[in-house]
Amino acid sequence: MKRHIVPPLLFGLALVVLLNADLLEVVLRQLFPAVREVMYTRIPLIDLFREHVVMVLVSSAIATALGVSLGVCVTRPPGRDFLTVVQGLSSLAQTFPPVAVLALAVPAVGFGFRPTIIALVVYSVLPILNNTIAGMEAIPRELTDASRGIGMTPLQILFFSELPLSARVIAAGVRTSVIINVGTATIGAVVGAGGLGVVIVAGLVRDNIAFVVSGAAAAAVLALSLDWLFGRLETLFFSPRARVAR
Amino acid sequence: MIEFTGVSKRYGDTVAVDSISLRVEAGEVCVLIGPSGCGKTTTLKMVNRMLNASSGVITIDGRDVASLPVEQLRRSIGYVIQSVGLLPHLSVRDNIAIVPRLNGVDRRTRYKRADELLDLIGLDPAQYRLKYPHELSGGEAQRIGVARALAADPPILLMDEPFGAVDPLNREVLQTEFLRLQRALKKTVMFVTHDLDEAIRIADTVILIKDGRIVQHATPEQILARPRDQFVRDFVGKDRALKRLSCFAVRDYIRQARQISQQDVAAYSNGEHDEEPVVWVNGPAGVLVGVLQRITAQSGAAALSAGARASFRMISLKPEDVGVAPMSSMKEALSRLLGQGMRAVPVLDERNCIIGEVRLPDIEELNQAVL
Repeated sequence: MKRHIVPPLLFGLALVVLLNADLLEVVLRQLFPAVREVMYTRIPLIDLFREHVVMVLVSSAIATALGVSLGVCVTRPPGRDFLTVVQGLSSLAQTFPPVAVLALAVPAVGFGFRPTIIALVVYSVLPILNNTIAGMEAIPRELTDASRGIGMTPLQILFFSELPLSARVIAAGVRTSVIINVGTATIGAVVGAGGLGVVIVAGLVRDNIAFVVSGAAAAAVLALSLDWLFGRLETLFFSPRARVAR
Repeated sequence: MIEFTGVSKRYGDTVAVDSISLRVEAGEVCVLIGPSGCGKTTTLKMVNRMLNASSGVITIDGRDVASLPVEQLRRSIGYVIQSVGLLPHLSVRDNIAIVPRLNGVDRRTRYKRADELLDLIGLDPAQYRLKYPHELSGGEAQRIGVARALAADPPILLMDEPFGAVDPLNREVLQTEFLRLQRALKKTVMFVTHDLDEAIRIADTVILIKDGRIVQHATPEQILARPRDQFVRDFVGKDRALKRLSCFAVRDYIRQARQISQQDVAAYSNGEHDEEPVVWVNGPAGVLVGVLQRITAQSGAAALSAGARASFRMISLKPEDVGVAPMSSMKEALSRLLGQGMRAVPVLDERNCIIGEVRLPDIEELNQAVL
């Protein structure tokens, strides 16, 4: 039990330091005595952090909805023909640099939040899609046959047996893509979407290491705490009582 | 009642089931048997439309199965398969109550029904209702599978090699259990197996299938006594006369047994006795303790030729080693006869007291029907 208290305490402490301007200034002055201006003052870090979280949550929610429904569609008998095409396309999407997607999306939807969300979704849908397909394909044939045999409709088979059985694998995909998004969302700054990328970019432009470190550290702590949260949720929902054992 | 009329199933050019017509009466256990790939499972699966017939008509109580919505049809038919197919993320009670749940039955009624069914299949509800499938043994899982099939109280059960993956000892237990349930519930059952002994044990009628056609449709006893052709003869095996004895129960062939109590052995031994009947000896409380044997060897032979009186001695027997129960099969009786080298076996009640005996000539007479 005690083991589980350490990570949230650590993350909590890190966040308090990062998001409280006075505390952060003290720490940064200690770390970078040579830098004259250690604090990015135009926008408080806590606001950028909030923007970042919103970007990650919105893009991950869309990627999850898209990935899971695409994965479900291509594992149904009518959609099976598209399985390889969809898998190929989503792999291709991940080889596409997010910055390039951003560049293509801006002329279509303008600057700001929306092109960033598009880039993040395109980039992070692959793990969710792939895991949904893998989870569905791993379900033993006899189990879906038995579900059919006792009179489930195709929709009931999906919700009573297929999705619960592949939930664990799908959740792992969502976890991966959320973590990817936390890092990738920093590029949103270049098209005016805000987020922690703003401080990092400002630091790079002005050659100010303190800016870069404060933005990167906040993103890293966000990624680590979300990862920890997902791990906790997984153990809560998938083990040990309701463990899927074969 | 299930009725097939000219039902075929074709896959491209191959014919899996070739114009089968058959009838399973209400309350009957009909076993489909045959070599692998003969079409028996295909035949079964067309009843609940897991497969659709290419041609022909299947009716249940006169209604064409093709005319019913497929999910509604399946929920009105219990379906038990070899791999059981319990949902691993649901507890035993949720698994059993899944069909009522699909039918919109409320939770309390469902769980009550699940408990009733656990009782029915002989598993303690308090102990099993909250278990998960991975915590069950193969035999337990298979029973839960049967309970799930019975949950909505369907009049028809389809069973596709349900006990095929269970070890022989447990399989026999499950078969006995199934017979007990069937006597109480009187479902109309179609049962697929490739195990002839299983078919003989549980079937009211057996349908032997080869290459998608029915070769013989008869009671197990008739199939063993009068195989229609060489294929059936080969399929049922050279020991069919012996197997056929499993179709008869000891209780129908009980004869009165001669028995004396242990104190009277000496008196009897000195008396005059013409024939050589089997005389059983009862101990205290009427429990079987032995059998009398005429002394014929060496000294005995000499004594006989000298005109002396016949004398007997008692051979001790363990009732559980020699006796059969009224519910036992005649095959078991014969096995006991051969094992003990006697001309009769005692039929015992639960307290090991003699009810009567089964005699070898009766078994021989039974087998005169075998062609």
